[in-house]
Amino acid sequence: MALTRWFDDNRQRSYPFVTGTVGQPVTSSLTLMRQLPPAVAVDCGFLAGPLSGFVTGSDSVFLKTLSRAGSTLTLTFATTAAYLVGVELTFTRDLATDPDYLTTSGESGAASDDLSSTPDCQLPGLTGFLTTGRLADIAAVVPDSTTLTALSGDALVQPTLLQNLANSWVRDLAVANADRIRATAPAGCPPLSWPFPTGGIIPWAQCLTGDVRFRAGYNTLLSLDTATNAIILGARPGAGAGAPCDDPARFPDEAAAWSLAGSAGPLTGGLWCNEVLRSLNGVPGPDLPILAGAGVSVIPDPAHNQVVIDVNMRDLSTCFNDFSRVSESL
Amino acid sequence: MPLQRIRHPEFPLEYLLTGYPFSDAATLTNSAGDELAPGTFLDAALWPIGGQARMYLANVNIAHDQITLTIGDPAQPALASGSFPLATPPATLTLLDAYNRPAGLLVSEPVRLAAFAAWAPGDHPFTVDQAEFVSSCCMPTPEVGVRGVLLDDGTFLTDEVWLVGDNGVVLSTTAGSEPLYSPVANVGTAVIRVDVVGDPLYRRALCDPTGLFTTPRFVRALAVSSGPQSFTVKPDAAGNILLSASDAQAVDTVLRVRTAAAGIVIEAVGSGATTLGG
Repeated sequence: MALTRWFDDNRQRSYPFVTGTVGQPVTSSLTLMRQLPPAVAVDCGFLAGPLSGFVTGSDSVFLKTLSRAGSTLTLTFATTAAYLVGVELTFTRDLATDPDYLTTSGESGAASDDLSSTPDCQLPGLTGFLTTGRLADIAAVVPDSTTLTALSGDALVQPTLLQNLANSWVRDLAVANADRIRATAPAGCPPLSWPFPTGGIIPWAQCLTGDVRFRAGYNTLLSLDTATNAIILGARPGAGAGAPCDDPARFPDEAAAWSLAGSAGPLTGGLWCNEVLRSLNGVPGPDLPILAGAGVSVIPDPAHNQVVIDVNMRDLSTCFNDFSRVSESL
Repeated sequence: MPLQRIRHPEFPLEYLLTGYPFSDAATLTNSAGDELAPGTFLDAALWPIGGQARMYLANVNIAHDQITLTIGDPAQPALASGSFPLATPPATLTLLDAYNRPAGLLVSEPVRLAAFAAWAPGDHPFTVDQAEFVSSCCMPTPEVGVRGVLLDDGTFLTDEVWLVGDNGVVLSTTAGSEPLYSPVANVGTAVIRVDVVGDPLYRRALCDPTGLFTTPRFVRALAVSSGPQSFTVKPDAAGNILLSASDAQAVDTVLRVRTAAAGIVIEAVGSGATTLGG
């Protein structure tokens, strides 16, 4: 007896599908995916992308639809992975011109959980290859205008034919900052407003790949521990780029946008140091008592937010009996 | 009745008695005499990151309620492992590595895995020669690039890793234009800059969650009025205003401004108590 070969074997058995999920007897016409003739696919293999949410041992890859329109055969694979709902991997064959045992590969769209990344960094949710059988056999068993759609448990791909890439590597880095603490206006003052959304985490850059380097900025110590392969970020006053001379922006163009809004103040919305009275004659606040000595009266006038300093010479000897003439108020 | 033979048996059945997915050379018996019966596993797919040639079933651990299978290679005997309850073996055993990354699976049937329940409790190690998997079950997954960021608390980050500056730390990026003395080529290099600048409104951050913080109304200037004259004095760079006594008309003014422990004292000097004249 002549020995059969791998594809020959597979076109007459379920492989690469799980036994029993294809190849069920066809009574009258081919209507169910579980009746898929084994001759259609003889080998395949898939990679579940890193953000697919594929759970090895629980999720599966299956042939979702097969359709024939004229000489065009279309096979669409899908998975039960959480983030690959609606993501499909499609292969087409021309039954008239393609060779037997044709192998092609393809990629699906990105996983639904991949939205946070930039398109340049998105990876296919499902990648795979498919080897179809002898096309004459397929044309014979799959009539024109046939469309098969998988029900639950139909046309499951052997679990060992999928490699799950979840958590396999660091695909890219994204840099962001928590929004700065922004000032609020005191009661009775006009509210502060910013010409951009505030709060939360604000991305600075995404999809950083290739060689990435860290640079020590203000008050920053960076070191590398080669023994543990660790990057150590530290802080020390004056380290790195020294003491800050400005207020680093939390996102690109923050300063420009703030300036365009008409503000020359700090990016927090607060006040510069020299815009706040912090001491009088070196006496610091928060309370600044002004005491009246001899010849002077200090008269508070809270209703008008003023303090009257009246140099009225009280308790002092003067050459005049009309105190009001020498009184000087500030 | 003539003997019947299935010409194209289904894939798992075809290799059931061959020892697959173990290699032909594997003895399937360890030095303690523990034997892996042919057909214990129907198929396998192993792709542990860093796995090298000749991956094998390195150990079978029998505990009172669960069984743990460990796979490895000659360099790393514990690349990945999978556990299942002793009472309810699964049909497919998922293997995870030390960072809980999927590392492959062993296909079997509950009744086949249940055979391990007859083994004595404890470890049952195998060598490469005793339990090597066939190479077609092993997918090389090299340890290239950065595979993860490991934090001090053991958190392992993969895929898209976000670095977020907070609490006085600011991160920014610049497209690589490093100084010329840099030993690494600059083309296409992303530079992440780390600034530790503190938080000028830290008190608000500390108090605001509990509603303790009320925005103060700072004194920003002193408005001085003297008769019809008025002017405004703003603080200097240090936030200070200097209040001094002088008189443009006479240097020997009696007015004094001095600081005391209790505050700023404004006073006039001269003889006290007696009013002269009139």
